Amino acid sequence: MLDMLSVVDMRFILMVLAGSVAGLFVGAIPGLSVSMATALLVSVTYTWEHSDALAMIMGVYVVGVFSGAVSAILINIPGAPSSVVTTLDGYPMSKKGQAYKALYIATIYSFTGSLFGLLALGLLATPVSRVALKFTKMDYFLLALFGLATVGSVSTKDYAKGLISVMIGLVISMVGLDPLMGTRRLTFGVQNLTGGISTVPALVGFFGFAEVLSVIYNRDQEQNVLAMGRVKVSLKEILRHWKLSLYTSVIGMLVGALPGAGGPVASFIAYNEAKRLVKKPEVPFGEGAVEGIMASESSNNACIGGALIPMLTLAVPGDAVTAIILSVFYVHGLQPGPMFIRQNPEAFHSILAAGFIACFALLILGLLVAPRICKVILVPKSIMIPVVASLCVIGSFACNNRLFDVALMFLFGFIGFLMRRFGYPVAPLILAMVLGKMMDSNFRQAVSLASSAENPLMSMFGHPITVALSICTAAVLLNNIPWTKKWIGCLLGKGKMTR
Amino acid sequence: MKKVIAWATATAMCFSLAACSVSTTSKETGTTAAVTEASAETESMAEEAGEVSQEAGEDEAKDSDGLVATADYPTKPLTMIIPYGAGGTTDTWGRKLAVLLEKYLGQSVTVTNQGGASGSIGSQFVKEQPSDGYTLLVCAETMGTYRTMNICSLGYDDFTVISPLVGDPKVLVVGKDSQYNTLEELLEDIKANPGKITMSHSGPGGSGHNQGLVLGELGYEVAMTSFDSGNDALLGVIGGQVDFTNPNISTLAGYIESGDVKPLAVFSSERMEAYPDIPAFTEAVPESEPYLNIPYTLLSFVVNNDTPQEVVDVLKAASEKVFADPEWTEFVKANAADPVFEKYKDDASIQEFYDNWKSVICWLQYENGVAEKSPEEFGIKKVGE
Amino acid sequence: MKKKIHSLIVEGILFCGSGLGLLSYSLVSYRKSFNKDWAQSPYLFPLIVGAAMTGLSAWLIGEGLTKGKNAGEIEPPKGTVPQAVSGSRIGGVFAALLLCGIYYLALAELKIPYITIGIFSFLYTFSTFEVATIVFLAVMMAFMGVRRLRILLLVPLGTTLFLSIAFRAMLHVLLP
Repeated sequence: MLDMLSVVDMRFILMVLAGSVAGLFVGAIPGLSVSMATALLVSVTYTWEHSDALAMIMGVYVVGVFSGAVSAILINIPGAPSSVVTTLDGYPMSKKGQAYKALYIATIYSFTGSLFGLLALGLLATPVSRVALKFTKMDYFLLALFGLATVGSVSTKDYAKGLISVMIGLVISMVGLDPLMGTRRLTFGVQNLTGGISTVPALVGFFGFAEVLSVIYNRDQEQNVLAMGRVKVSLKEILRHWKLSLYTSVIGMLVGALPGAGGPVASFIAYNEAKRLVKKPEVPFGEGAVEGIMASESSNNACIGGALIPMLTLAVPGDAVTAIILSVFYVHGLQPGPMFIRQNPEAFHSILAAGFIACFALLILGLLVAPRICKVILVPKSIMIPVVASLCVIGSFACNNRLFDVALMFLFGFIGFLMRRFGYPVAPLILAMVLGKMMDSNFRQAVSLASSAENPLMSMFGHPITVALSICTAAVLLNNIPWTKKWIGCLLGKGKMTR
Repeated sequence: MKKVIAWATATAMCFSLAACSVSTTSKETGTTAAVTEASAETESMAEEAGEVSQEAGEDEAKDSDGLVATADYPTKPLTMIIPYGAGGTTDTWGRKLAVLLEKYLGQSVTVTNQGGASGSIGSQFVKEQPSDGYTLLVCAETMGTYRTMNICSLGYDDFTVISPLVGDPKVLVVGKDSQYNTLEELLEDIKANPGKITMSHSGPGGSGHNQGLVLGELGYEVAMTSFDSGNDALLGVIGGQVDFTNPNISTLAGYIESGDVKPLAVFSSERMEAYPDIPAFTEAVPESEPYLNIPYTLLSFVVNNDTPQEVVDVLKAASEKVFADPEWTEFVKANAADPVFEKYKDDASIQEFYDNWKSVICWLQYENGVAEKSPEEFGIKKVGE
Repeated sequence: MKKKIHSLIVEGILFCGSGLGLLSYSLVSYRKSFNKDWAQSPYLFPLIVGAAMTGLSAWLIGEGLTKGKNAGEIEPPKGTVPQAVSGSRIGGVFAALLLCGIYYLALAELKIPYITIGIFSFLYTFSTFEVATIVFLAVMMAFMGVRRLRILLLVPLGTTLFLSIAFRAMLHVLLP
């Protein structure tokens, strides 16, 4: 692992830093996504040396994933789906005038999370990829289902409403060409819908624009600016949660290594685990719990290292950004696969070294920027809201350069506003939307594979991982449905139960 | 005032470049379809483009017969659309071709990925562009089956084929822990348990699927499942979920080397030069000959069919030069590709080749209930009729 | 109190309707589609989601009914937005939507020229976005209750300038 120092020189470090600054900017502005920025970089860097290109892209990637939390905390618009969970506790914190503390925590734990993920990439790439290979189609489906089941429980008191929100998200994900056959579904003859609904307009609409409408709706009661005390945050207090952070980082890394699931699932599962493990948080979850931000941020950043593992060893991208990094490899004539790390050690080391440098850049940038940027919330709502509205418009337009997306964003904003009014959480919807296509194709493949087997059910659910995942999913589901919860309560009273 | 005009021209240049921007699509989010992240290139790109043409200009001065460009074509950068995501076979070869075309056309060729729906979205996009030869397309074999599969109304005759490129040989593989060691063992087991042995392939109507249909025609019934991509199908085999699959050699090479798979046979009538140890499928099943003399994964380099003849000639001449370039020939060798471009040089033989290809594949799919519409509707005759 | 129960049941019926709609959509499409293998059919997943949605809506309705039966006095949970809908507030929301709609139309309608005319039209579109955004921001702020003229002028100008420089010049994102 120390070989990677050989690729580092001043130029390399500068490249990473340039990428990091760009990543901070891109991630923090709602509507500009990290994958968009990397796509842009690919076109710029394709004539460069591959180590330079990789350095810059890793900078954008690592810092960009973190800075999605900035807008999530300050204005309740997650920069990317993986920061959705951060809004749950981050925004309430900043509403209470603790934005600085929230950003500080997000920075520190994004740093540790990324560091952990990259360490895992450096040391465990091959074994982890072997584990990932053991996951069958059904397992991917169940993993996503598990993520969705936890979602319903993390973000609302009424589980049914959470699940309804999940269903709406799944329906939205179905619009467009289906992932396996390319058949048009639910497009109703609208040409613009054929390509499907992209995440950015939905994210910006359901969070950003819905927030705009809610503020307008509630403006009579809205007391402007809260006095923002300069809260002193001691390092010791922050580092108190290192055990939980390590645990959520492991979750993040492992989920990240499973292609298709990625940051959003990881952060939801981590959040659910944090909620389960921390019985008595100082502030309840969902109202500004430090642990919530911590779990979300350390797991979604640990995903970076995780997602790179299958990309490098199996040529399967773990998320949208690694898919683009994969194309960088191909452009430069490198062929990721089982022999990649052995045959192209210098490319592997460039990625690792760039990642580590980017981690430190994240720490420094985060600590530098946090105290300044958090003043944003001091801006009166009457000025902030119009600006956010125009940001929403640009962000949703910029992802595909279609005005159609802007119209969609307005529609989603209104739906999001109604959902909030009637107590339906929005976060599950976004996760379901991101996962829908993957669940769909994996489920159908699993069914199709099983249909030729002697015993279809056995072949679908017979694997140890599948059994474990099914049990977890069932447990989460049953534990949240009021009347089955009672049975479980009875069972727990009489017999043994792990939980 | 001058400044304003200069600035305006610069921005306008960026705008024109926006058309040839890179759109990157990802399988994961599934937004492959119309995601034209037409993120305009930066000015540095514009400068690069300028540099390239400048360099090319110098080349021309030095060595005038190195370039095939005429006075009026090409005068501006070209765009090559790859109707599949980055990293696949089509992408790899398209990008190689683009780099070498740049060398001989004296203009930059920007590669854009527009994946989704078996490549029909990118192809449709090219069809909608002006037929001036500035938008090129490298398409895969699915182009021949869009109509019968009812995916879209495009076909090879909507485009002028500059040249067929290469075929990527398909290899029948099983996982390293598989009970099968030879093709004969596998085939025997398929015969003994019809419809029980599982096979993964890259997608309906694609080359992997066609190959499964050929097996069916020969009397070997297998249970086929469509996976997300050829690589995904291969990982299913390596992970032990599927019995066998048939990836392209370009995706497979690394896994043969690492020993994760056992290659049983190349799905062709001849062995590959780069892997002389892998037997040809016809060696075990001689009666499969009529199905195997065509390439299953076939890449073609095409432009819109109403492109002016002069432009087509320039492109043809340029691609001839590309095919003679040592960089290309070595790439062909390194990837163990089937050099289809060598065999079909003149228009008549290209036409005949595609007609034969269409009739074999379309009828194969139609008779197996894969294609929705009869090839007859589109004037595709059955072989031997 | 009746209102609350009513709302849950109405929502349940709404979702039940959409679930059934999805179910029938997938069944009808499946019948029409060429591919008759359920395992690989594109309509398998919509079918399941539709069924799940219908089931969930039954749960919602059930919840609404039980709440209505045995807990007539229990107050609605706190966190939710107050029930009383004041006409002016929802009116504000629609006014804001209307503003955004006008902004959208301005962007959409004035976009057309740049394709047809060369360099100058680019300058023209450039100004379209900027002008529309400045006006939109100013009106929106006034609507939100900002009354100081200096802010009304400077903030939209500054924001727009920042946005156009950041997006157009630095990131080369096309703007409407």
